[in-house]
Amino acid sequence: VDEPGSSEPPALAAPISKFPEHFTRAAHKHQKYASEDTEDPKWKLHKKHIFILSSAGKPIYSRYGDEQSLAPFFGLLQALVSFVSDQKDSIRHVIAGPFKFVFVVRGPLYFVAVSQTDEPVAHLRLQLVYLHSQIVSILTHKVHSILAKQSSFDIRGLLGGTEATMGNLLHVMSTNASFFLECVRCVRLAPETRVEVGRALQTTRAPEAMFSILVSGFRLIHILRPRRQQLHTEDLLLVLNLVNSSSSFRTSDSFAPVCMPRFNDRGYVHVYVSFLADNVALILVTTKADAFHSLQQSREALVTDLTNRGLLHQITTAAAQPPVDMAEVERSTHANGVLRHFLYKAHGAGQFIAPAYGPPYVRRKEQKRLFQVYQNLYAMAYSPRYRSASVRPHQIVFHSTPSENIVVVTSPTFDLYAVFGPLTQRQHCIDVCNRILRWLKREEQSMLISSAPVW
Amino acid sequence: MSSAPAVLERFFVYNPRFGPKEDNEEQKILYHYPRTASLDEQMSHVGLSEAMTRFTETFTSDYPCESLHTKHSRYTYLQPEEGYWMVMMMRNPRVSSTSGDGKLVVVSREDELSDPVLRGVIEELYGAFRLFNGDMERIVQTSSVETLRRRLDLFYSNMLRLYEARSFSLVDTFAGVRFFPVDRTTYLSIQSFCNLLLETFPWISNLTFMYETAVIYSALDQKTLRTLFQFLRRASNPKGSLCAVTSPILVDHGDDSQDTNALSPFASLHLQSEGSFFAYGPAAGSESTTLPSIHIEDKVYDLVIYEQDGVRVAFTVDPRHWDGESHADLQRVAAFAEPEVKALQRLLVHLRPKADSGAKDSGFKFFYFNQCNLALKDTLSDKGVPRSVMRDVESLYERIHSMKEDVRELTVHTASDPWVVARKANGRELYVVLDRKYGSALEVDDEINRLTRELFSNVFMQ
Repeated sequence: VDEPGSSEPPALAAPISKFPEHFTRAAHKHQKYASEDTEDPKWKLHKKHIFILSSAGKPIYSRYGDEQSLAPFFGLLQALVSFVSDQKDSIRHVIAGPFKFVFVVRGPLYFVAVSQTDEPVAHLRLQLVYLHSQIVSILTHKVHSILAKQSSFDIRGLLGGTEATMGNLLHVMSTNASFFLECVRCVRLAPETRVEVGRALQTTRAPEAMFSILVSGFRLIHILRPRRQQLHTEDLLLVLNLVNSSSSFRTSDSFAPVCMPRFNDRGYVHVYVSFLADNVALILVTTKADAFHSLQQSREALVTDLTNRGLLHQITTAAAQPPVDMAEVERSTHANGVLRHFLYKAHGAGQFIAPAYGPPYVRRKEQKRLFQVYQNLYAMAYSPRYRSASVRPHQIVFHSTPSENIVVVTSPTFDLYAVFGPLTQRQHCIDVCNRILRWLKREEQSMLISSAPVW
Repeated sequence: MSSAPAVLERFFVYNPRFGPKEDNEEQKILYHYPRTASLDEQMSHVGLSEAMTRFTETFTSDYPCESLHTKHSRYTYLQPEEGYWMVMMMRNPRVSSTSGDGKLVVVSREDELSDPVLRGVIEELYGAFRLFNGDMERIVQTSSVETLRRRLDLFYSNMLRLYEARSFSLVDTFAGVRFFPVDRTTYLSIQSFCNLLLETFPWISNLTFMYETAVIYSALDQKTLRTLFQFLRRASNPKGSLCAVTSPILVDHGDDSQDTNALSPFASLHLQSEGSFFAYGPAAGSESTTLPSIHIEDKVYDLVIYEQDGVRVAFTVDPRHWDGESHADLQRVAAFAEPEVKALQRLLVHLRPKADSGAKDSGFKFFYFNQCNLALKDTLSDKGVPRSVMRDVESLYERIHSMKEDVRELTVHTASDPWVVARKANGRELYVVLDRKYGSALEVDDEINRLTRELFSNVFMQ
């Protein structure tokens, strides 16, 4: 059994040098607001602000605006948190009309979201918790003790160069259902092909590789794991975000230290990233800081194996398409055009299935609107009362607006959120839901990884 | 494992205008419950509220700060008049249990209390004060800040006793008026009685006729009717009578004395028959009448409430009319009304909602609220609906009203719990709990449609 990641962080200069200044579009967008401060009327108009500060009120991050000129504002945030903790209480959130102000406190780190979007409070909290995990993934849990010893310490220096990752994470949490569904999506592959890929991963595995992950964007192609170790979704998503935040990973093989908070928040593991094709990346997680060459060799072996069996081509083709589009769903369910979209989460596999957006969710604004409705319905179904239940109860929810009708069915084995046109009769909705479930049962083998190979 | 319910822990009123400087800061506190809280404690809570409300203002001046959620508490904010802030602090319900190693673990249930419900309560708290005392600013202008402080103290120290957390419900949020459905003939009889009363006693105004805590006819403007109705509802005992319930209305004599005897609240003056009396009448025997004042628009009136066998007739009188003659005048009103009301009551007793009890048998309980006329029908508050189900209804309300989407229907069914259906359209809202096990969503849909047709086509509403 591998020992946990080295407890001594490598020279902290290391992370910075591995993440050169290639900002993704999403992160780059926020650069143009970097000079705003509280006096600027445009500053208030942003739909969602994010602030990170230390318990001493020191600014660490602000999504919009210049942290330094926002310093007094950060002081106010710190005062609010202390005011409440002085009453032997902990602040959660504040509501003012459509505005939600959410606070998450993690030791000496405070995270605040100010949102006018339709995202539910539960999801805003989730995003702030992820930001905390993101910081831990860069600095490990040691950041807590650094600040505990010296609350005025400016950790921005330590985080230098990681704005792109942070910005991308925020962007992706608002558009990718993996975060609020707490599971990932897969690339669709014929089950036999998937098995072959799994075998290839197994036979070419370097001894130092703990997790071997093949991905495309945020979608899983396959994963090989130790028999007794699961990879937590949160860790996986943070790594995927890292890989997707910077274009530098595409140009050459990389080997970077990363902390995986759920795996071990006190130390670093190393992550080897290599793109096998334009849209397919191999990520190998290891606890050995000197494993680069060995891992690189295993990568060569893998590519050879996959190419020889024609698998690489299959993978890249499959990765280039959405797992399912509405045309196929329509054909399979004979929904007569009433079904517009759906989300299906399989609890056992810990993955979800969703088609590409189709009409009328073509423009980003409409997609975002639907996305936030999904989040609200999910928050309802997973309200605190049911969250703690050991077995998910069976639930049915009907949601009807002039824009669409949505049926939600939850059970111990799956969740289904199905979107219909607003005039669709209830009977028809229920029928189509049943047809979706039957169709998924037949097809899910290709859309989910039901059993990950182990070593 | 034991549980502690939610508690109204703190309620205070402040206006920074009255304590602008560092050295007289405490002056901004106009009222604080509990009285026993130290000045430091009071100031720290006011400080927190000021910080919160200013913080949200940084981002939006269009939407005032509404609520603060913390682990152990829930704060509700209201600025009913420019500069005047009211804050209500509830302590979340708690569950304590002993963990495996014998330690006591207390967990706060942070999501039990419903913001819209608390909002309804705090608005009612203000509304009632304003009804009986007028605007806070007006009091300050016409009298002094000290007078305002005294009035707030007098009013709320008693009023808050009526506000037990377990009685809070969505009904408070709707702040609707329950109407008693009558057929056309009965309505006309009641209206003709009211007209006759007004003709015979022209000094009566703003007449309101109620039966069993529901309104049948009222000349009051909607806003005042709503506030008065809410107050009477809260001040009535479970049987619907104002008698023998401690009243929050104490008269301010302008000095520090509180004349509790003069207004042993709801002391009744029994008249011809045992069943009829004036609430707020003089204490038995004495000649002087101390009627509560109510403020409608900018005018002040005396409020008179006459009760007889479940019928309640309320009206206002210009205080200048009395001229020391009130006792005699009211006796004449009672003498006139008594036989008429007796006759009407006999009609009304037969009209007691049977349609609703039919609904009860068929397994429905519901709230129906019409925003246009404030009509509220409520069988959901009756006993027998578990708190957890009510919480589900509140959650639906919250979700519907917090999303930007125009939600027309939201229906939830969990495992073996009842179906809970919320429908909203054209300013009307309907919340139904089906307490029978319905097999399918379609049955539920059909039943709700049937319920809507059956119940709401027969209701005679103004």
